[in-house]
Order: sequence, then C-alpha cells, then structure tokens
Amino acid sequence: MPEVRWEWIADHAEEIQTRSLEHLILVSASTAIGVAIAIPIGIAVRGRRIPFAAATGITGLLYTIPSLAMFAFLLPIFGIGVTPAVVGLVLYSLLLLVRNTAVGLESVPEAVREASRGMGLTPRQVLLRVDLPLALPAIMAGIRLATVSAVGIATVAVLIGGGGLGVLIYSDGIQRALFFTPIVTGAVCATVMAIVLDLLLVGVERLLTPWARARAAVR
Amino acid sequence: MSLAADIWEAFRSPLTDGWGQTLTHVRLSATALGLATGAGLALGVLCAKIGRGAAFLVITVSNLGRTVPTFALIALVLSVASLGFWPAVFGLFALGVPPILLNTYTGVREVDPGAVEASRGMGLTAGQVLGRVELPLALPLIFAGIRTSAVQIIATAALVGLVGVGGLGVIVQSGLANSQTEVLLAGAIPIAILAILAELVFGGVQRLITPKGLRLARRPAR
Amino acid sequence: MTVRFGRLAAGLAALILAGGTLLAAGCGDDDGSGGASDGPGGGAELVLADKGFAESAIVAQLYAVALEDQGFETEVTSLGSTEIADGAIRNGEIDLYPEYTGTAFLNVLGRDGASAPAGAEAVFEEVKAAYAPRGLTALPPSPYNNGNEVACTTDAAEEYGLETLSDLGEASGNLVYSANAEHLTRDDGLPLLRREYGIDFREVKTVDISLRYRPIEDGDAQCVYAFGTDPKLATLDLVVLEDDKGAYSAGVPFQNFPVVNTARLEGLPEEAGAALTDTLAEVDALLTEGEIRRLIARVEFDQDDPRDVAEDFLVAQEVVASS
Repeated sequence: MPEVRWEWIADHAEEIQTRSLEHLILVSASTAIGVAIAIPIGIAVRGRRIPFAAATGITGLLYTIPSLAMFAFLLPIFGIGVTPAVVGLVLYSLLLLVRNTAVGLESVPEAVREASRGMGLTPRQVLLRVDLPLALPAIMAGIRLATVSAVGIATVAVLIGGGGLGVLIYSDGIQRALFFTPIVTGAVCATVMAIVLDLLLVGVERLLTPWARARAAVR
Repeated sequence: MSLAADIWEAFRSPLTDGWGQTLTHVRLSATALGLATGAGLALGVLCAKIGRGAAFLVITVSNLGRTVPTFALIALVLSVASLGFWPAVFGLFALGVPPILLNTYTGVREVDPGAVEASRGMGLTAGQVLGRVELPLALPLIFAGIRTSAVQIIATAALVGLVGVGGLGVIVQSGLANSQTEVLLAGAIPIAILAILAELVFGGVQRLITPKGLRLARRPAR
Repeated sequence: MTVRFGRLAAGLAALILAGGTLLAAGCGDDDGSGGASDGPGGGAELVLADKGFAESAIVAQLYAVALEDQGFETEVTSLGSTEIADGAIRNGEIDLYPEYTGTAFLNVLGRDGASAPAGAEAVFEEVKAAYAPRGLTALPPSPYNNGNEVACTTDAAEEYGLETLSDLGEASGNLVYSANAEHLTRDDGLPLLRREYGIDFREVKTVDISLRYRPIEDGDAQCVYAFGTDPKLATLDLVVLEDDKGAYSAGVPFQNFPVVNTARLEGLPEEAGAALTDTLAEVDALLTEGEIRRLIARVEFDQDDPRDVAEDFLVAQEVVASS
C-alpha cells in the first residue's frame, strides 16, 4: 500500500477546497436542471403506457451510454469546459428522475384524487396540492439516486476540462505517474460528498413529508 | 455523410487499430464480468445462508459500490498494482461484484419460504434446494444485477486506457488530445454500442427468464 | 395540502439559500497565490497553461513564479494537449503557455520537416513569423533542445541491429512500443514514423505520458516515445535511435519558447508588457538541458510538486527572492 503524503494534502488544501466546490456546483446544477426538465416530463407521461415507455426508453438509453463516450459526443457541440460536463450530467439524471416522478404520481391512490376533485379542485390544483406532494417520496428517491450517481460521473469531467474532484484524481494523480496521495484524496472527497449529499436529501425528504413518518410509526 | 466515412476510416486505421481495441475492450470486460459473476453469486449465496449477520456486509459493500466513483476506484487500484491486463481486470471486477452480490443475496433471501419448505418436504437436500428452487427463482433479480455490472464494467473499461492494456478509451483519448473529432467518435461510438448491446442482451434474457407472475413493478437494484 | 406545498417550497428555498451561501463563501477567497500588485506587473492577471506533462508543468510554473515576483497575478491551468492549448490561446482562454519550436513547426503549422530551414534560430524565426498573423507572439526560446525520439532497450537494439529509425522500420513488427494516446494519431507522432520510416510496431502500449517508461521497466515494451530531456534515458538501459532521414526530430529542433496571446500582450500597460517579455527571457535563458533534466527528475522521480520545484530553482538562481 503506497503511503499517503499528508504534507501534500496540507499544501494543497486550497486546491482541494476549490475542486470540491467545483464538483458540488457540477452536481447540484445538473440535478436542479434535471429536475426542472424531468418533472414536467414525468407529469406528462404518467399513466400513459406508450409515452411512459418512450420516455423511459430514451432516457434509459442515455443512461446506458458510458460517460467517456457521452462526453465525447457532446464535445463537438459544446466544446470543452463546464458546459458539456453539465449537459452530460443532466442527460444522465433524466432516467432516474422521469421514471420515479411518473411512477410516484401513478401510485397516488385514485380515491384520494377523486375525493379532491369532488371537493371542487381543478385538475391543476389536484396536481399541485395532491399528486405532487404525495409523489414526493418517490421523486426524492429519484433525486437521491441521481445526485449520488452524478457525484461519480462528474469525476470524469476533468477529461473534457470540466474541473471538479477528477482534477485531483487525474491531473494531480494519474498524470504524475499515478501519484497515490491526490488519487486517494479525490476518491475520499468524492465518496464523502456522495454520502453527505445523500443524507442531506434524506433529511430534506423527512422535513417535507412528515405524514410518511407518521404512517411508518403506525405500522 | 462525409463525417461518417471519416469516422469509419479513423476506426479502421492501423494507427488506432479499432478492431483490435474493440477486441481488447471486450476481453477485458468479459473477463471481469465473468469473475465478478462467479464471486458475486458465491458470496451472495453464502451471505443469504448466513442470514441476518451478513446483511450488514452486503449492504455496506453495495453502498460503497454505489458511492465510490468508478473512476477513482480504477485509479486507486492501478496506482497500487502494476500496469497491465490483470490489474485492470481486478479493478473492473471490484466494481462489478456489488450489484451481483446484492441482487443474489436479496433474490435468494426473498424466495418464498413456502416453496423452500415444500421442496425440503419432498426430500431435496439443501444443495438441491439451492440449485433447483432458490437460484432459479432468484434468477431474474440476479440477471438484473449482472446486467447492471456489465454496463458498468464496459463503461469503466473505457477509462483504463492509461495502463497499457488498450481498449476503446485509448482512441477517445487520442482524438480528444488532437482535437480530431472523427477519431474521438471512432472510439466513443463503439463504446456506446457495446454498452447498449450488453443492456439489451442481458435485459432481454432477464425478461425471458422472469416468470410472468413475477413481473411486478419491483425495482431491480441499479 | 397547500400547507404541504408551502413547506416544499420553503424547504427548496432553504436549500438554495444554503447552497448560495456556500458558493459565495467559496468563491470569495480564491485569490492568486503570492505577490500583490507591487512590481511592474501592476496586478495584471495572466492565465498560463501547461500541456499536461511534467516538463511543461515545470516551465509553466517557472514562468508563473517569476511573473508573480514582478507583480503579476497568475493562474496556471493544465490542458490536455498541444491542439487544445493552441486553440485556447488563440481564442483568449489562456494568455501564455510554453511550446516547442519543433512542435509548432510540424504539428501546429503542419509544415514538412524536410522544408525546415537549417539551424535552430532560423526555425524559430519562421515559427515567429507564421504565428504573428494567428494572433500569437512567439518570444525567444531556451537553449535546451527537447526532441521527440525513439529509444529502445540495448538488448533489443543488439538483437535487431537497431541504430537508426530506418533500422527500426524493418524490425518494428517484432517490437512493442510504449507511448501515450495523443502520440497515436498526432501528425508528427506515430503517423510520421509510419509514413517516413515504415515503422509498424507489433503492439503499442498506450499509457499516460507520465507512465511511458513503466512498460519498459516492466519488460512489456522494448521501445519508447522519448523526449530528449527525459531523465530516464540516463538511468535505464536505453539507446536513442538516430534520425537518419531527418524527418523526425533531427530535421527540426525542439526548443522551448513562450507563446503569448498578442492582443493580451498589447493590452498590457507598457511597463507590464516590458516586464513580461524581460522576465520570460530571463527565465528561459537559465534553462539548459542539464538544468531542466534535474528539475524533471525531481517531479518524475520524487513526485515533488512542479510549483515547489520551480520556486526552489528560481530562488537558487536568485531570480526571485525567497519567501
């Protein structure tokens, strides 16, 4: 096991911080944009077999394309830098978000929806006040999966000039004859980031859906 | 259509050796997948039989597999080992095991206890129960795990281009460095095709072997 | 249910606020390292780049440290290759990076090695003249010459009678070559060797450029893509093959020189502009083959940071004051 040079970490604290922040921005920006795109799509295709299959089929195909290839495809269009990195990450997030949104919306009990329609809510109000809140656990699950997955994929962004923790792993590590310390630093930071973001989102989900907790307690 | 012709030329060129790299890529991936399937199945069954105690191990391995970025994992493995085919295979193997392990464990654990009891009652040994009842019933889920691993391995094999074993990622890096779009795509397109093929083939097999009754909305572990 | 939705909105808003604060906090403190605006540089910001391998990183850092000492604010970014660097400096993404006359001549300008004028100075003048209309200024080069070479193990050289690149052309079908991915399709790389010398290796081990001697050390390759300044040429049992046709690096010298974005240079106040060219000239003059080899050895063997290596060197040479 190669040794870890702690002085290197101390000397490069600022770089580690910068790269972590870059990484965080890549992940959060792409997830936010992904959510903005995926939720309307999920709403549009819920309950409709063929549109659902088409949406999950296409986004599933995108998800299957390996990240290096995906970034390579985006390069001729967007050049190098943060843009192709974010676009790629957004495309990867779509499958998880669209699928979970649609499935979550579909699982809202029809009885509840009928009841709210009976109370005089317009279809739009039903969507906003009944369907979406009740679908929130599924949507949040999708956001969690997409976020953790994005942390991993974003490490490859360095190869197209996107920055992030991949810089530690690649430019400082691999390109210096597989220098162990920055590689392990980048790996640990990315893993910790994934875990922390996941926990944060669990917390957000709990905050937003107190009725789920109550239901779990009753069970 | 001139770009398509350029890409094809770049692929066939003896400098990039597209067919050779594709073969290497497939060899790397297939070897790693085979080993990962073997290990994942064996460990998964073992943990399923041990029961509760092993659950923690399985969950942890599976979580680590999900959260540690594959690029980082490969870099770590390669910085510790020497360069070459087998270290690369080992790295790919390491990230291929968790989905198969988790799905085997879950699949075997979730087999209907009634079915197991019935077959025991019929006189089957534990080994026979495993081979003729539990594994077949768990097969769809296991296949979902293999499918996930296959795609993951093919994707990450593209990143090992820096350890002297080749693979299609080398062509991508070449095109990337020299801003040669046709070379870039000559590497990227086959990678995407391989991944999609694996997804379709394994997905198709998974669907075939799933008895109609089990085709619920259950989410296979991704 | 409106209450629930209100909470959703509140939760999201809180998250965005938290994220925004983090961002603001993080963005605030990233100032350039080293000198403030005291010095002829006057705090002018320069973006430098290196091409991703040790020597390039060292030279870029040498420039950066020296310029900071003169009051510039510098930032060094690592780019993947010559192509990328050339594109970046032409559209102003970066201001300055170290290039080689040979690379500029053969690769960037795409000229034929056979048409190169005789003598390093003449080649540099031709590059300089050709760079001007591209919006780039070529500043005077360093003394050291870092040609692209092919080096083979002495065992292989003896077995196959390898002395020149043409010899290699005949024997290459039996040999394994170690190089990086960029070399495979770069005009002045493997394609040139193939075209001019008929070199067609049995196998090419593609590794990161910093690892290209590993396959040699592990016994998996007999030939390697070598640079004239590689410290490992001295420490390993290798022989550099002679460029008998002069189409590879013998035909064209590879001297290190700074490339500056002309618009940026002219946009600087006169004092800063003069300080820039003078400082770079001062640094470049110090770089002989022996010196640069020592610096590369520190980075490649000891895995020292290029910036530290640059600082130590410039302090020892009394170009900058020690900090």
